[in-house]
Amino acid sequence: MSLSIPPAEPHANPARTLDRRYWCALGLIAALMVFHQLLLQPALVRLTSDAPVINVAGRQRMLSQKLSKAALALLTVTEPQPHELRRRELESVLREWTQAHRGLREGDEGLRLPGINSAAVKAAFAEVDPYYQAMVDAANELLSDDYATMVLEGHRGLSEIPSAKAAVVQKILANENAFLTRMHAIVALYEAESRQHMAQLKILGLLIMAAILGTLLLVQFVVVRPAVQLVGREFEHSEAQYRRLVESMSDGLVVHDAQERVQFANQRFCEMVGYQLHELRGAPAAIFVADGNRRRYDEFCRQTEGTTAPVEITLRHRDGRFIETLAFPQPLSDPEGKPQGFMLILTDITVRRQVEQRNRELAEHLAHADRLKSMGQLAAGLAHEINQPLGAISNYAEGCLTTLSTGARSDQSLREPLQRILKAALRGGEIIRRVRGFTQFKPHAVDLAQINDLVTDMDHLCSTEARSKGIEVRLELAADLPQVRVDAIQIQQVFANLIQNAFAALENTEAYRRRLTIRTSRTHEDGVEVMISDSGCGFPADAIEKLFEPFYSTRQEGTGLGLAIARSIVEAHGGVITAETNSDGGATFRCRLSADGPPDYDGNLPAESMWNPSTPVNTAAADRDAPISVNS
Amino acid sequence: MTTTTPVVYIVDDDADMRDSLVYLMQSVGLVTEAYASPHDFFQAYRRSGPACLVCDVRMPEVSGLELYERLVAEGAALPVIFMTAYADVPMAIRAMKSGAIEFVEKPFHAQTLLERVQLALSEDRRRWDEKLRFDDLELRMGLLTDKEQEALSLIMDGSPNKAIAARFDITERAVEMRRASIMKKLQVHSLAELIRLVTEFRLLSENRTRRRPTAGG
Repeated sequence: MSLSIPPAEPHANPARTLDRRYWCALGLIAALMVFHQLLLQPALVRLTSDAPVINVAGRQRMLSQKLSKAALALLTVTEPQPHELRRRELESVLREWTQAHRGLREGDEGLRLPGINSAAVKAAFAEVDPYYQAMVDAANELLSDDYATMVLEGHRGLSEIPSAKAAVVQKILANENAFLTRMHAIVALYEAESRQHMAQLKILGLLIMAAILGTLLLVQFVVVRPAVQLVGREFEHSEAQYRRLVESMSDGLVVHDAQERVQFANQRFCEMVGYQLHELRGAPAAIFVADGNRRRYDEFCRQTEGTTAPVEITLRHRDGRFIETLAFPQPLSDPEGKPQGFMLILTDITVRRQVEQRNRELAEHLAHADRLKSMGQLAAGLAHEINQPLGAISNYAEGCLTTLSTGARSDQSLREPLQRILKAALRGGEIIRRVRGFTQFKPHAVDLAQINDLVTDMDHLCSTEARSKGIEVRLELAADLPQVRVDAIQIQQVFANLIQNAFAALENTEAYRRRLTIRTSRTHEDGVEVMISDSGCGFPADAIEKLFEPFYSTRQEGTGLGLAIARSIVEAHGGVITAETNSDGGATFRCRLSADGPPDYDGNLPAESMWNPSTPVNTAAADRDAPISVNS
Repeated sequence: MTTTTPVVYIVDDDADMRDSLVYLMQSVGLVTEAYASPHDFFQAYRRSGPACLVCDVRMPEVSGLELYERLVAEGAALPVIFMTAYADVPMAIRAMKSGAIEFVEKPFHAQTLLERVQLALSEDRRRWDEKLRFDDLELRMGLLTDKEQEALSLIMDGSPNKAIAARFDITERAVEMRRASIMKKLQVHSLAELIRLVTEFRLLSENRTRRRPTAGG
């Protein structure tokens, strides 16, 4: 027979079918057991009545013999006293015997006799009955009053009595044999009947047992086996599903036992570290964790509770490559909470790291390009600035030569101009140092700096430009400023961008009011504020919010990057840069830096801060041919 | 000819450059006066002889060209040598229009500057002499009365005494006397000398008018 689950119609739950079958089978077993009880109970009851019947029937033989003996005894005793005793004995035996006989034939509650029920027994009794009756009659005769009176009235006619009695006793004895023989047959019949009952009962029991066993077998085939198959299939299905899930993960997954040996790893993890799964099984974590990361790996793997925060772990590929990962550890424990090991999900962030690094480099390069651009705008002025000391040196040298050639020389007269030559040469060197310092590509140079020095340096670099544009630059430097922890070049770049912005804004201002003020001061939070304020054309009110966005420029020729770079630098330093419009129409930029700076800033310009997601870059606008001019 | 010592004025806001120029000029025996700004220069400047100005074009507040224009406006004409780091076209045009005479481009050879200065000084000395001569002649000419002026122009036209006498309706004797008076006032002793002097005066004044319409003393 087909033992599989019937092909389930859509949405049919096989478990429910099995459940139904199970209940059916259970009901069947219960019915069988009830049937068994109903059938067996009366049979058992009957069986219990068999024993007394056989017993009583057997005893009847003994009683018949006892009756004979009592009758004989009565015959032999002549004294009135014992005679009466014997007579009573005969009487009680007779009563007992007749009661049992009636009981056997018609049933007797007291003797637990059911009465006669089989035809064979009935026939046997019919056969025995005449002998029985004869014996009863004879016994009754013996016990009759005649004999009793004779005995009691003092031996009169005693000689006749025994002879009469003897005839009666003889009659009893004569019937006893026949009775015994017939009774033997009846007992045999009873025993045969009882054996038959037993045999029937046995067969019935066996049949019911067989039926129960058969039902159980049915349960095994119809319920248990399909259920096991169902569970097995479900398990396999679920296992396959989880395996697919684990294998299709884009992250690596590795499971360790409590001894930090690999138990399982998914394909992705195998690819990440370059080993096959069978090579990894049982291997220690050390084979794929980069040397410097082992302790950290061990530490978080030893944690037993909860999911710890993701940790960056560097793995080492079989070929020696390093793989940067972000690991999510998850301790595993058995149901009693005993740690069993742990599971790690590792996300490969190597590419992300590379992109971040690349972005950082690009930001550095962009900042550098911006500095070069700034320097390009200052180049003419700087050439002049360098020409000043060079010209002075040339003049002094020529003067010295003339002095020498006129012969009217004294060593002392040359001392002064030579010293001046030296001073001018150093001054030229200083300018070149500033230019080089500003334009070099030197990332990650965070150090303590005096902000006034940075401002002064920048002012020097811009001074010629300011002079040629007729701009009066005022420096108002506070004396008691704390040192700040900054990347000096980057901060100077901020100043350069702000100063050049101001220069551009002052271009259309009347010559006599072209003024730029740079003021440094201490902030309440013990930081430093640098204010760069101009008397130029300012910017439109609605531009303030966009001012620091990349590619936003109010000038036709502006790239729109200067202020964006300035902001990214200041914010990377944990500072704030703000812009406002002056009452006289010019613009004021404030740049606040804390004294200790951001503790973790390493001079790496964050690539993303310039392209702040909160200020989406208008790429469509950036693609336009003409520079952006919102309000030029 | 004058014996006044020529002065080289130096205006430069850059101390190194200024001081080195002073030293350079002094090493060849020139007298210098140095100023850090056009403002300072104007405060101190009094023309008392041949001079020249060595000036940086780019300076805060007042640029070198503005300084020169102001000099010209005030009639204090002075040869100027501009020092410039980059002689851009608009500036050169302005400079030419205002009559600036020289440019030296930084970095310059000191000898070049000295030559230019010497040249400028000799030119200015010539002009200074010319100016002194003109002033002298003008002074003398100013002594002449209107009639004498008129007579002088007739004399210069080569008119004989008779014609002059007829013109003024005076006697020839009177013409003689007027001529004597003119010659005395103009401090000449012969007709030839007179004609040379007047011609020189006319030429000088023509020059001045042509070169600097607004020029004064």
